Amino acid sequence: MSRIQAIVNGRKVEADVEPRKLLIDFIREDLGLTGPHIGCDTSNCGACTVLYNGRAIKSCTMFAVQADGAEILTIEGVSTDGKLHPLQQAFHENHALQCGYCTPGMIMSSIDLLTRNPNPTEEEIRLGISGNLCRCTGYHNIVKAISSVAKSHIFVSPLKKAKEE
Amino acid sequence: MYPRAFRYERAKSLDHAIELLAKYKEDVRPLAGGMSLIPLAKLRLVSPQCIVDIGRLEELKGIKEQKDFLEIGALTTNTEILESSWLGEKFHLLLDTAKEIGDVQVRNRGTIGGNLAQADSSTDWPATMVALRAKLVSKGPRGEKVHEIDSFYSDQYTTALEADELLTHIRIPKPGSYSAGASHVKLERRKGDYAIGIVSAQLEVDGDGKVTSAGIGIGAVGITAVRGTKVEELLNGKKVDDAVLASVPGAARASLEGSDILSDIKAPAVYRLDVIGTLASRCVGEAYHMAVSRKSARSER
Repeated sequence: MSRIQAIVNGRKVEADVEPRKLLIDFIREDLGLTGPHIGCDTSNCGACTVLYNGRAIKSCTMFAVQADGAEILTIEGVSTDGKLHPLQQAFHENHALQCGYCTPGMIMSSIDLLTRNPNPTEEEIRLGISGNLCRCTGYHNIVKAISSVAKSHIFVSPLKKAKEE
Repeated sequence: MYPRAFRYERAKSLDHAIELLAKYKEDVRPLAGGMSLIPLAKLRLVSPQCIVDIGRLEELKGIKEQKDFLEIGALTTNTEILESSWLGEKFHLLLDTAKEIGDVQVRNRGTIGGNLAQADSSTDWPATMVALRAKLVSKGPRGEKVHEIDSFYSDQYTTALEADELLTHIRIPKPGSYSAGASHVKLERRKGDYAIGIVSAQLEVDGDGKVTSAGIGIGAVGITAVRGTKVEELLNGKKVDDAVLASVPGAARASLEGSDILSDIKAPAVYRLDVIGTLASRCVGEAYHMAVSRKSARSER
């Protein structure tokens, strides 16, 4: 067992983990945060995407021990005071989900994209979410949702928020 | 699926990493970004007794311009390269290549050194390093070694590195002029899939538009990245017009003679050999166009 500590959604956590434990399993099983999903478990689908030190990563392809000392943000940490994050709101309004399984990962990748590139073209949006598979929507409304947030300049990076607290 | 249980060691310094690798030499793998090792370990295709996490070695991170070459730390991530836009002037091919790798999540974790040491010829960096004539620096208990890229790979997943040696830096010679043109072209079924063919090119031209230096790397066709020797010979000293471009596919295929060719359900060998010609011609055309337009933009200034 290895002792690790991390800041998850602004909260300090500490645990003993087996070295082979994957970060996604640590997040879901040990921390009880079931927003990030396990889709393919082979680093293809992106359903397990979380922000690791501010960047989108696939948490099924990282050991929890590697995250020792890191800051992690999951979908549970993006809303403020019970109000949806603008990206969550936009997904809702644009019908950007059907079954919803890919949505948490999609939103985390969108946060990485809009944090670095506040005014992406449609192509840049599509490339930005190319690591996230959706089998329901055909992507069109997901692109529309991300684009609507960028165009109305209502994107606030939840990363900055976590740092200020 | 979980990998088989392993002993986890976290390296505190480069020397500590080498010590640990030497200690568990019989059955050990270094872990950088984990983009190859973790999926392989989860499939239990690789089950090392010990994994040495080198991910925190700051001494192996970052990009520095030295007098005669650019030095990239092995643990520099693809995203860090892609976001170093200053590379565009002299080392555009690095940006062209980084952009094509996987997806944002993979680029954020994946490191250039981890990719090169994994020696998967279907990935982007090996072909690009051939085109750039890179030198790879390694360190082990017997000291530092400098490997020429052309002799670094001997087979799929096989490099000149011993189990207790680590790739530490990549050195890329500076182009002779600012007018190097670059292009990185690949064919994949969908974004993020393993490539079926990759061609990477860096070309320099003189004032008349004649090629003074050509570097061509071919990936995802041979079991290792292959130098497009015949394409380089074809281009040297010439202006690249339609007639020259028409000879590129044949020269690309000729460069692959004597290499073992990959063949699988995605693309049989005969298809890979066919498609690589088209990719090579497209890649050379783009790199040449960029070299010439950069040259003329510079002389107008």
